[in-house]
Amino acid sequence: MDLGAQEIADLVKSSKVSATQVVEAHLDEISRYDSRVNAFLLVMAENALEQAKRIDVRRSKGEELGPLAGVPIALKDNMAVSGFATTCGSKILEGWKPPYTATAVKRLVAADAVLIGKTNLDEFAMGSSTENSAYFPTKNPIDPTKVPGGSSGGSAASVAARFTPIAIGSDTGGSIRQPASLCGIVGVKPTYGLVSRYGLVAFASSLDQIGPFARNVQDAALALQVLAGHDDRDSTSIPGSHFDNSFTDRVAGLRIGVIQEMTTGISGAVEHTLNDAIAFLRSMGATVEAVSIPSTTYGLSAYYLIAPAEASSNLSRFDGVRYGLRVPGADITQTYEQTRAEGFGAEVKRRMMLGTYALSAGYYDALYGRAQKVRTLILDDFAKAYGAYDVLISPTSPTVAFGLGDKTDPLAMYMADVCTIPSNLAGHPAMSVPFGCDEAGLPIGIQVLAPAMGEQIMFSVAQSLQNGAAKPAVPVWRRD
Amino acid sequence: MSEQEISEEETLHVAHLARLGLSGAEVKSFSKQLSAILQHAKDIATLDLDDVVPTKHAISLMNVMREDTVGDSLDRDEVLASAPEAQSGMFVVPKILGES
Amino acid sequence: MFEEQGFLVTIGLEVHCELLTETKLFCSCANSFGQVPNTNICPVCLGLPGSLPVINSRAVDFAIRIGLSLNCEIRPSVFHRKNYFYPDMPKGYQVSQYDEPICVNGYLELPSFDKKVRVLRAHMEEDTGKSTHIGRIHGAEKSLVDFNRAGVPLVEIVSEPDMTSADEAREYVSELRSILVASGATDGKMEEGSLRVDANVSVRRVGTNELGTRCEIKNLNSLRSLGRAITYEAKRQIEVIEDGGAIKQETRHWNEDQGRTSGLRSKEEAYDYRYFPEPDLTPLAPSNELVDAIRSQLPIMPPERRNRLRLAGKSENYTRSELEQIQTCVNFGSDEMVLLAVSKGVPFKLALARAANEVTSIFADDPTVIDPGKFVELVSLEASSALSATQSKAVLAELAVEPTKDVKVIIAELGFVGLSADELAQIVNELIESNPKEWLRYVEGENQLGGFFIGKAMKVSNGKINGREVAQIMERRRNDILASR
Ligand SMILES: [Zn+2]
Repeated sequence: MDLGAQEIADLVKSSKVSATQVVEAHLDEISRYDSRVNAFLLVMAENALEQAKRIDVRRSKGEELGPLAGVPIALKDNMAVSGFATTCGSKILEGWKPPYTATAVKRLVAADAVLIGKTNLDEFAMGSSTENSAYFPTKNPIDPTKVPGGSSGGSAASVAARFTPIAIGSDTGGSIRQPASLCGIVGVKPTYGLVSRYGLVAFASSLDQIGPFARNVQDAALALQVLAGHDDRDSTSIPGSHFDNSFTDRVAGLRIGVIQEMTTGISGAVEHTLNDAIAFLRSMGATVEAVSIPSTTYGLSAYYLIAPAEASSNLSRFDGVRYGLRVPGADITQTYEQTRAEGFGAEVKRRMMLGTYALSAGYYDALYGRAQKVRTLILDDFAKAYGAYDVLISPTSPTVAFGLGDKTDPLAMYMADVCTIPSNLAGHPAMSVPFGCDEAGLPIGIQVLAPAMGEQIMFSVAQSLQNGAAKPAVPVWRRD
Repeated sequence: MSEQEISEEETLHVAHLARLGLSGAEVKSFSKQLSAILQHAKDIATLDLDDVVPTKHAISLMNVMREDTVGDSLDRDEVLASAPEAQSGMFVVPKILGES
Repeated sequence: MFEEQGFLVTIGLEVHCELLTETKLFCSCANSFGQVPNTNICPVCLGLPGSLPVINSRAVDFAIRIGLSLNCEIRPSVFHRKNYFYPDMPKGYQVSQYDEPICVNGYLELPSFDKKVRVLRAHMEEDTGKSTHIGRIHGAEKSLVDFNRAGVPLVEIVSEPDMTSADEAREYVSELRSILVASGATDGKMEEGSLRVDANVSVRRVGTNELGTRCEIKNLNSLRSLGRAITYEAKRQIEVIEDGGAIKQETRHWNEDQGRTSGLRSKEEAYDYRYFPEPDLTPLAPSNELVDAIRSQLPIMPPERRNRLRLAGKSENYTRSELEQIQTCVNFGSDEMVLLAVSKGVPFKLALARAANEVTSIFADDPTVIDPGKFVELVSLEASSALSATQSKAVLAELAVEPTKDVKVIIAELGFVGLSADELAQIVNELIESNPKEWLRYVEGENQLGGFFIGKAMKVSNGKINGREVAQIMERRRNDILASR
């Protein structure tokens, strides 16, 4: 199934192919190959076929279908779908079925997309490799000995493996862009507040944002157009926000900055690809120059105080009282401690410890308080840079996909997000576009960053990069 | 934040605040790992931030509110069905300290 | 009352007040008391993963109303998360305004102590659910949790430690309650938990300035509990200090049946709430226009109503009982009719007495029943001696039964229509003739016999006469006799 989302929607709308045929074909692909990737925690086959049937019936009655007509979509398993298990990759939520549906998911369904399954993730979206899932690690479809990146590794793998043309992820510090880069696909983190967070299980509320994965820039834009929009249920949703899926691939005359701080400590292959991208953009008529954004070097430190702090609070609700796991103890305190000890994995515990510490009496000002001030510096620096440049670019990840089990030191793992974190702290949009590969054929993505609500110009540059990119990587089992 | 060494005692205190039961081995490894992470975060300790206003939110929305109109509530039995323990239409929890 | 023992008591109060909104603070579940457990719950107030809060605009209006009623400054505010675990708190944190509250720096006057108590702040927060201990189930101690109350909007009003006696504290709460109810923000029902009071109590030796270590007393469900608990706690602290001990800062629980406070049996716990700004909500910055609009909608508050009454009475020094009558009228809402009566020329004290005593007791169930116009008509008649006090009260009682009936009709039906001057003179003549000895003693100066004649006159006229008029006729007769001697 190499068809893209736009192609599928066009075929279904014009009755050349039925939604049922599309869904059956994708389900077949999943059942055949997902054992090699482990992208899915739950395949919603029955529901998907019913949804497809309803779409076909409506089409046969001559009803106009939505922009994602019959397009199979995979959802990261931290988004609520009423009546379907939502685990967040954690044992603590095993078996819990939310009685309500996330706004982003409702928008997809209203656009006639078909929900095909829930994908694997690092537990509560905390991680950069999808190895922190309490269920199983997901493998990179391009090379199953490598990680797909994370935390939205299952969604990235689903798209890279051709299981679905589009998948939805969430990005708190790079959790869409980094796996997109490692899997050789497009991944978008929109402006904070563009897509409703209602129904997304919170990791770090002031940083989380839902966004799409796709195999090409146009499909990602199509998905974002459906996802974007104001939601009364999310106080941080931007009033009147929308994304208009019409952009060019013209970069001539654009001023593009290359973030200097993100070109150090990167692998040779990544540096090579970045240089290729710069040369290509120049050849297309853009002015490309190095720009320094000094405060971004403090992004990692600020992020690893702010995100765990918010997470430590957000995850307090998992206490074994109303839903999910309970490990009973002699009294309520013991019950809390045992439930959370057993229900959470090591990385989640580590970050909750870190976040609790950062907020605790005596450390708030020195840790959390300072981190919020660093956020201000980053915003100011970005504002300055966008005074001189229309967009900024950088590598998405300092390295290509690393081997499963290779990174055991938490701090080394955190470094994987060093290029992606500043956009989350600033609330700005950023996306990853595949541009090249290393000698082993592992994909390398270029990150395009734009100011708040600058999605239009960001997509133009991404579209241009796609035009100049190397042939997209395909899953190992489809190479011949 | 000069020498951010976290003692095992502090680790235990933080674990209690977070209601996380930790094994002896976890206390040791977390003390070490948290110290290392905070050591890395030391770079922001040297910045002069006295006159910098903290950013609580990347976007600056204000006064987002809703109308005071009653909406739907969830079905109680459905909600209680996913509770670890329920009785008489209520959630059952183990003994709470301080109640008798 | 502890001063003779050499101690001063200091009291600060924290009053939680439930707002009269239709829905909860952050979700659209109904805010209503006494429902079947766990029926007013949704993903937001149940803290289900992925749910998000949105602020109820009416709750903000009510908080501003409360602030303005307490002379506070209305400020930009930020909701924070107060992190701690408790089974009746669904999210593991309570959303509260913490150090950036919406109302700051107000005050409240204690009418009978002529004292201003400073209001430090009034901030918005969400209520918790309710847990009930039920004993053993399958051999283990258990509690039941109901989340209907979780997320109900509260305003917490924190006073400075400006009160020095249980009486002051009681009056503070009573006055605060009147103001809150008048503002329309709450029903003020302490027994239903709409108003909940925590008291911070400390003692120190006379002559020292530094406040003693305070204890916070919880579970004060009535003004009576509040007064008793403060007195008990002050006594307890004084005893500890006099025995050479030190007061431990702690939260103590008031037991109404035992009449004592006791330390909560919680584990020694260093409270560390890890406050930080709630990232799921935006800051509030009420515009001046909004604040002014709310101000203009506020009714006249009890302190001003009290003041209006005092001014109407044109007195500098009211007696304690008059001050109490003024307070009663304000609390009951019968102050307006007093003002109306005074404006029609009725003496202040007469109108006040009727409005504070008879009206409040006769119309206790529903003060709105009595028509102020009829009240004024009645006390005017009483003032002009057309009706006696007894008659006037009887008419009021009749008005409670038939509120729309004309006052004149009631007077006629009760036979209170005054006798003509001739008829009255005739009765007095007959009484003088049949009681010559008593008349003579009266003429000679035994004034107390006036009452004897008035009583007789009452009897023969079946209460239709006005005693004061009889006294006037007798007085004239006596003067005539004395002048002719
Ligand atoms: Zn609710």
